[in-house]
Amino acid sequence: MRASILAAVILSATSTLPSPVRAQLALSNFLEARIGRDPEDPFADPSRLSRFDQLNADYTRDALRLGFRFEGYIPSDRPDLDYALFVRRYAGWTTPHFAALVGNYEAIFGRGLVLRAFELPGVVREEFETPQFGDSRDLDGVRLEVHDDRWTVLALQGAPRRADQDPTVERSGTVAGATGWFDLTPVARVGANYLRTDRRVMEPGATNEIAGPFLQLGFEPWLQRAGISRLDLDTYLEYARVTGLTGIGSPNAPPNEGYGLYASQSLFLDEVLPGLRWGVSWEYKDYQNFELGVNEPPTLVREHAFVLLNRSTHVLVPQQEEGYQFETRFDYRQWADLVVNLSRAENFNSLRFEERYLETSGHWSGATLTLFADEQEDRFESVGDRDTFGGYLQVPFLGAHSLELQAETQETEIVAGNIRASYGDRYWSLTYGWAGRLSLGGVRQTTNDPDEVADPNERRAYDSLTARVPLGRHHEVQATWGRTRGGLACVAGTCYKVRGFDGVSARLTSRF
Amino acid sequence: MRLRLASAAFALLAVTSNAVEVTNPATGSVRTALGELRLPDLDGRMVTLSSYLDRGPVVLDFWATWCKPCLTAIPELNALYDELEPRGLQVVGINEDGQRNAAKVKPFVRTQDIHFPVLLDLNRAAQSRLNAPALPTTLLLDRDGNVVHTTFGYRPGEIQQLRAKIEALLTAKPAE
Repeated sequence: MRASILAAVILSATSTLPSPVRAQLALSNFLEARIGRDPEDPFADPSRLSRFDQLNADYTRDALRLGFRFEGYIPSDRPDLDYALFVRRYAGWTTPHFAALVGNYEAIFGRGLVLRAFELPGVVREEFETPQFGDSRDLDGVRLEVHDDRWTVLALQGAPRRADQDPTVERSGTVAGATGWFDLTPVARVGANYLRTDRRVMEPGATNEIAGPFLQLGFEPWLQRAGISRLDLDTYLEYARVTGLTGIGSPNAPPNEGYGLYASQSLFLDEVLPGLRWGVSWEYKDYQNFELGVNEPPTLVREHAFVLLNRSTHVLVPQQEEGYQFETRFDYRQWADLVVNLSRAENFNSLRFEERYLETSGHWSGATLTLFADEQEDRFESVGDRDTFGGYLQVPFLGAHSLELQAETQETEIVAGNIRASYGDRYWSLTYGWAGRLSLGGVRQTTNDPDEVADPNERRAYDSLTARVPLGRHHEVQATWGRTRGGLACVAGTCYKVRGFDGVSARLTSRF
Repeated sequence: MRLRLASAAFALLAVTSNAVEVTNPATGSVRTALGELRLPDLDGRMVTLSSYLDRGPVVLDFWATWCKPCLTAIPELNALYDELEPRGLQVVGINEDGQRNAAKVKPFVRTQDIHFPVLLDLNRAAQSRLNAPALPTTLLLDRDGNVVHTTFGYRPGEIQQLRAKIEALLTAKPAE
């Protein structure tokens, strides 16, 4: 059925093409080969060989667009996990004010409170007992969009793929809905979202309806008209109510219902003192019974590039969570920055996550030095106190060469009832870079986390070397040798589990 | 065995790419993709990416506020934009903080005094469509939308290599 729709779209499109036509073909390929094993799996064969490949093709001919993604995985020891599939295919038609697409697609309503179907480019997932697969949480169905300068309407229908599902698992359930917005004035935008979900995977037969408005206010035009150019102020508000729920219940929401509220405000002030710029953002969330399976509501927790902080962040509990995030930033003539971030999340069981983060950076003659301090309490994970300190130094030399040093230390205290335990993590990395030619880096990470070592006096080390080299204009190869640590990883607001690895891996990224 | 199918498909595509009128089979053009990508700027105004191509070569910089190498590259891109924008260069920052950090982006851009336009890729649609698997990824496009230079990650000194490519594009005669 879907194939016939695709064929019809392609035929009708190609038969009405204006002349002359321009065609474009974009190809990319990602290949990863690994020899080694998960160090947490003592029974795994250390000479295990696996290959993962992802090929993307996108062909456009004027308004027509066709494409696919072919993905495959071959492990030497588990033929039952072997697969090779077209995991995405699509046909689309786009004009200046209209776009239609049949097949696999991404979509977002508002700030993602109600619906966010997306992928994490470059991320390869591997859960326990799954093959390796590209992280794609797209929809498979139909998407239509009509827009003008001051308004947009997007309607869609499709089958979702859940975060931890590999492509061999058949999609289940459907979503259908629409979002639209309209610019009332240059300052105010109003919009609304509606979504109907069939959650056959989690609750057989259950159908939910989610609906709500959003409002965006940007006061810059008013402020400029009033002659105030040093100040800027923005506000965003989104609310959605979900009905038809069964089986889960926050005490803060009516039976079988839930809601999500997200609000943010940001402010900027120039020349607070001579040369000093100041920016602030403040966000608030209140989610009650709001896990819809197809959304990824804003988490309001700071995302960190520092490795130990990135892997010890809070993962949102949308069934019931309330909290805020506040961040303020000062910049002095682009020589020095100061960032302060406070975030807090709490649920009805008095589980609480709190983080206080301070960072300062200085920039001199192309060199950068950043120092940070972070304190966390994460009762969701029985962490009573977690203190992290570290820094980053990058020094360029001889024009195209540079050295990068990163060092972090983290102490964690676990409090679970009467049980108390503490452990520490350390991270060091040193990277040499030669612009446009190569980068070579070494990482050493150690821990006595009781989840990873039996004896708290023992420290487990994860040492690895990585080289990255561009090969001509179209390829880049990255090779890693050694042991890398598993755990949580977060990219652009989305967290997922990574499995540890001990061995040699090589990644080849190509684009044409 | 099945991966061979992928390799065969890859080879077939490479062959068929010569059979159609591909604008630049060596590097690939993303003009059509840019025409389909509408992203909000920091004030919520929707911008079609291809509109920048009308003015000259375009540098697309995929970045995020939490990405350290991205932040090292930004002041250099800012200086590049200030110097070469009068000659037609367009620099566009595509922010990949997503909805998790969207509220922080505008205060960040203003405190860092970033002069070039920044668009929000809340759903990573542009990153996916333009094949930018790492942050930062920098693409240099000529006026036809052909990708003439790509950088994954950022190392000091790479801006000079980018500048040399831009100069070549700015001094080249526009195609008739």
